Amino acid sequence: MSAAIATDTATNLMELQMTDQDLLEYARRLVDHAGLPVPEAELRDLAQVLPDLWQQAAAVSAVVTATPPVTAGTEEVTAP
Amino acid sequence: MIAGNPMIPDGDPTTLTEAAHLLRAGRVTAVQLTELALRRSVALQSTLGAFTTITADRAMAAARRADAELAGGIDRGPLHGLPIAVKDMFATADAPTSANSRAFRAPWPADYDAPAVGRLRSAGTVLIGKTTAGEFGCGEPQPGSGFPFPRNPWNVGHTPAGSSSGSAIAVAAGMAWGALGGDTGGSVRGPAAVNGITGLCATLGAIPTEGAVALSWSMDAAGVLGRSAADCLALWRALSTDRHRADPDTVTTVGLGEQRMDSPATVRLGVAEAYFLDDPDLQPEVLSGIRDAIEVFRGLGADIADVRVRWPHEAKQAATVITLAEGFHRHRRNLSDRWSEYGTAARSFLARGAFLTAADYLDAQRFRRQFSDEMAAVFRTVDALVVPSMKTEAARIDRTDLEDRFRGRNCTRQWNLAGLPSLSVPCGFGPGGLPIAFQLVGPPNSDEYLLRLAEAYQTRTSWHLCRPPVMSTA
Repeated sequence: MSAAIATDTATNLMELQMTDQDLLEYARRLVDHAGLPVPEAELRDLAQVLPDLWQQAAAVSAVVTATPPVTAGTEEVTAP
Repeated sequence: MIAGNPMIPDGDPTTLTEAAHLLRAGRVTAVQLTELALRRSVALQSTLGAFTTITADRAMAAARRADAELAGGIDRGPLHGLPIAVKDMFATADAPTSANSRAFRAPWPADYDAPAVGRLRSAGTVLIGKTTAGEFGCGEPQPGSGFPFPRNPWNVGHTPAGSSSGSAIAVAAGMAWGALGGDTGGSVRGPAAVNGITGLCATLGAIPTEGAVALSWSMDAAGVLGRSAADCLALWRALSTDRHRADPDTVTTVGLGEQRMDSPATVRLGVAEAYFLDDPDLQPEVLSGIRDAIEVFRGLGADIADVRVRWPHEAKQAATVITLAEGFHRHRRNLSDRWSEYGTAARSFLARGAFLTAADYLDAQRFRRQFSDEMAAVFRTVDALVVPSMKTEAARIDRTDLEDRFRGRNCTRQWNLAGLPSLSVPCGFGPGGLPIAFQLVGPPNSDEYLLRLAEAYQTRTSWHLCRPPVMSTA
């Protein structure tokens, strides 16, 4: 859980296989960071949708990752 | 042969096109049509909850003006003098805008018309009121929101779907002959499908969305709802911007070249069996309705081909990621300041955007480019796609599973992602006697082409002319 930070991608977060309590704490940190006054009961409901949400985002990222961009300037640059 | 189950009463015009014809023939006046629309709107409001505001006095004044103009030789076109409803997300000078939310504060002056609304007025329409919607366009309306709760006119125990719920109800139940809606992920086509009318989600940007309450800035599209494709075509022509609108006689669309649509004989219609028609969640009646529709097109001379669309599931998910991220960004400050003023469904939906990262959002936008390229490749082989609109007829209102609502029974979001025009067309009834529909999807700016395809289909069928029994009570 300690590895999970707000800038982690959905793909990375899914791999952490958080417990319900981890999910709740993670959700709490993010809504606190966003300044949202979410009541505890609603926070619990929101925390439960996190895996599904991450799964959706990760599925999209997987397609993008499997199809590297060909646009000039986006390829990895290696020093000579 | 006419297929379907027409329940066409004598008397008041069923379609906008018919109403326009009667008006010009002098057999009815704009005032009479408006009185009829208002009478139904008021009588059915407590049952169907289609409107947040009914602008009766202003509508009657507009109708009198329309009649006077016609008598004086001024004809503003096919919409002149016809009662039209506007989703309560668009700014109108003659009625407040609520976005169906207690948390909404209009950012525009009270006398401001959204450009789309201004176009409707310029076309001579009579705006009869603002229609109920999902709060801020977030899916289906919820009971207890403090706003009228919309119900399906075919069975009030069932949902009218969202978010352009009231617009679809108003057209289906004869309170308006057309309506303006907004569609970020299916908000025109879903309600059109389950209420038994025709609904177009226009090419992204083709109908101006300025002056409309935004949900997802890069996904929000506008659309029109009418009983028939011909009705939607008249609305589309009045609302679309010049660069998106084809010449009325020669349809020019991206990917189609220049092609007359007098007959669909040259149409190559793609049927997406994989994912869309082989979906086990697809109600058998929906599947057979679509199969029948395909045969109607075949009978009209269309070439039918099986087409595979890559990444349909991921496209739906990418559309969700983008909508959530952009919706949260749009509402973040308001959610922080006025959380309790939002309904529970809307705030639950919008707050999910806080759980996505910039990398997730950007991946979804990058995928969007890939999927758009994929669809461009599909439309090099066929002119339009046939897919379901909704997988089932309308669900019961008393289902309380919020996740089911968010996940949706639609096959619509993918096309929003690629900014494609898509049209829901009635094709029968489900096991509970509620309407079902199929969807036509085309390349960007093929809106008129799709509408004319559907018009051809509707010359052979009459599902779109069926009217809900509740109309007989008003």
